[in-house]
Amino acid sequence: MSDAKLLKDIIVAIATLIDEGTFEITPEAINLREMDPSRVAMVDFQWSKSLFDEYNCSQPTKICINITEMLKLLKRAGKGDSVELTLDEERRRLNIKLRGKYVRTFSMPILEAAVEEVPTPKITFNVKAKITTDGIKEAIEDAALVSDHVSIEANEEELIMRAEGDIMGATIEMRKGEGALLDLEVKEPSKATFSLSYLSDIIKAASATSEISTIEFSTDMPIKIDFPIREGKLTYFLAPRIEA
Amino acid sequence: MYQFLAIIRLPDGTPLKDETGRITSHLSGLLYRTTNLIEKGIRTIYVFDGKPPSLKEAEIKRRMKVKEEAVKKYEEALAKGDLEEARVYAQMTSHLKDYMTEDSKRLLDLMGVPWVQAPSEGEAQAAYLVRRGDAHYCASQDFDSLLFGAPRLVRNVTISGKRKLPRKRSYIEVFPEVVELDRVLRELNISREQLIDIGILVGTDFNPEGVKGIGPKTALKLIKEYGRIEKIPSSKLPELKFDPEPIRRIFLNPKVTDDYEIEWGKPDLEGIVKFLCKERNFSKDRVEKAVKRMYEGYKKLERKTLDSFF
Repeated sequence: MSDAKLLKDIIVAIATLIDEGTFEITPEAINLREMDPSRVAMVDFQWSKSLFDEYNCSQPTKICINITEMLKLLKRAGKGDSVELTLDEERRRLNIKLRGKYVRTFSMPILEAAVEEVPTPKITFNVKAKITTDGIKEAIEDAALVSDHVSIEANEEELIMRAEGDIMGATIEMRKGEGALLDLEVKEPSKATFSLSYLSDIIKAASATSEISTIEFSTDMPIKIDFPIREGKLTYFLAPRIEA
Repeated sequence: MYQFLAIIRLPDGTPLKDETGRITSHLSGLLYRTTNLIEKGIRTIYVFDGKPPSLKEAEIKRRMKVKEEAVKKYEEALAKGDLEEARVYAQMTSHLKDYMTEDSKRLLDLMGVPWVQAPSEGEAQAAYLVRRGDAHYCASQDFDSLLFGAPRLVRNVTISGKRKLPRKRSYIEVFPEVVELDRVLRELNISREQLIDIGILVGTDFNPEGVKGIGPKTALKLIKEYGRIEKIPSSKLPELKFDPEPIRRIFLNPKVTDDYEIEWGKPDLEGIVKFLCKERNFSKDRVEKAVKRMYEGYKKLERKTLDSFF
C-alpha cells in the first residue's frame, strides 16, 4: 500500500490491547479479533483487499505476530513511505518492506498461532451515539481527572457521563445535535459503567484512524466503540463494571 | 479437598469434627477459602473427581500404602507424645469419604457456588471448562492440567500467601503463579503431544515411576531430538515397562462431560447457618461473619470480563 502511515495507525490501535495477535488472511480481507489478556476488552479489525494497491492471497492462512515488535518497525516509516508485507511461508517469517528515500526490509518471525477463536459478544444495544472522536477523547480525559471509572447514560435528548472519585467528581453533558454529539438514537434509557484506563487507551490509540466514532451500549452491558475506517472496520468491545 | 483435609487440623493432627465424629475440615476450608476469593472478586467453580482411569490403579495403590504407613507412624508419634511429628503423619492419612463429597456439594449449593462432577479425572474436566471458555483458569497445584490441555493454569491459589513447610514450624511465602500452555509450548518449541511424552518419561499418575534415570531436562532433550517416545533409540532410553500410547490417549482424549451449568447465585445465609451450625457444630458467629463477607464481596464494584457476554 502506498501509505505506510495507514498501516501504522491501525497497528497502534490494535497494540493498545494486545502484545500478540493472530491475523486471518483470506483472499478477500485481513481480519483480526482478539481480547486483551485480562479478557475485559476486545478489538475486531478488518481490512478488505480493495484497500490495498496490490493484494495476493490464494488460500486463507493465519499468522500470529508480535504486535509490539511490529509497531516498532512500522514507526520507522517516514512520511510518504509505501509499505509491502509478504509472508515467507517456508521460513515462517513476515517481511515488511518500507520504500521511501531508500528501501528497508525488516523480517520478523511468525509465532505459533493460538487455538482460541474469539466470538462476538451477543448484545442488543439500546443506545447508539455518533460522536466526534475529538469530543469523546476530551470527555474521557475530563472524567479521568477525577476517577478511574465513568458511568455513561443516555436519554432521548442527551448523553451524560459521570465520574465520581474519592474527593472530586465530574459530569459531562452532550446534547443531541450540538457540538460533539452528532446523532443519538435511544430505544431505552440506559446506563453502564466502564474503566477509564481502558476507555482512554482505546480512544487515544484509535483516534488517528477516524474523525468520527460511534458508541453503542445498554444497561450493564459491554460498550461497542466503532471507528469507521476506509474499506474495513475497527470495533472495540469493553466489558462493564457492575455494581451489584 | 485433600488440601483442606490435610491442612485444617488441630495441633496434634486430629481433623476438625462435629459431635458425632464426622470430619468437617473440608467444609471449613471450602467456606473460608471461597469467601476469601469472592472478597477479592474471584469466582470459583469446583470440580469433583469421578472414577479414576484404570491405569491409575498403581498410583492409587501406592498412595494407599503411603497412607497406611502414615497411620502407623502417626500412632507411634502420638504414643511418644511428639505432636509435631504426629501432625506431619496425620496430614498424610487423609481419606476422602463419600459423605465428605456430599457435604461439600451441599455447602457449595447453599453458597451459590457452582460445581461440576467430572466423569473421570477432575483435572481433565477443569481443563475442558477452560478450553470451552466457561472458566478462565484451572486452579491446581498439579501440572497435569497442562497435559490435559488447560490453556491457563494458576498455582498457589491461597489468600494467606503462606505455606507451611513440612516438619518445620516455619512458613514460606508463596505467590500465585500463572502458567500459559501456549507460551510453554512456544518457548520450548514443542507440541502438546510432545509435552505429554515428556510428562510420561518423567512420570505421571498413570505411570508414577516414569523412566529410571530420566528427569525433566533429559526428557525434553530426547523428545526435542527424536519427536516422540517410540522414536528414541534404545541406546538412549532403558526399555519401557509400560505402553505410552494409552497414557497419551488419557491426556489427549480424556473422559469429560458437557452436562453442567455454571451459574453463581446468592449465598443462602439461613441455609448455611442451619447446615454448618446446627448440623455440623460450627460457630454461628464465625459462619455469619463469613457469609456477610461473601455478600460484601459480591457487592463490590466488579469489573466483568467479556466472556459473560458471548
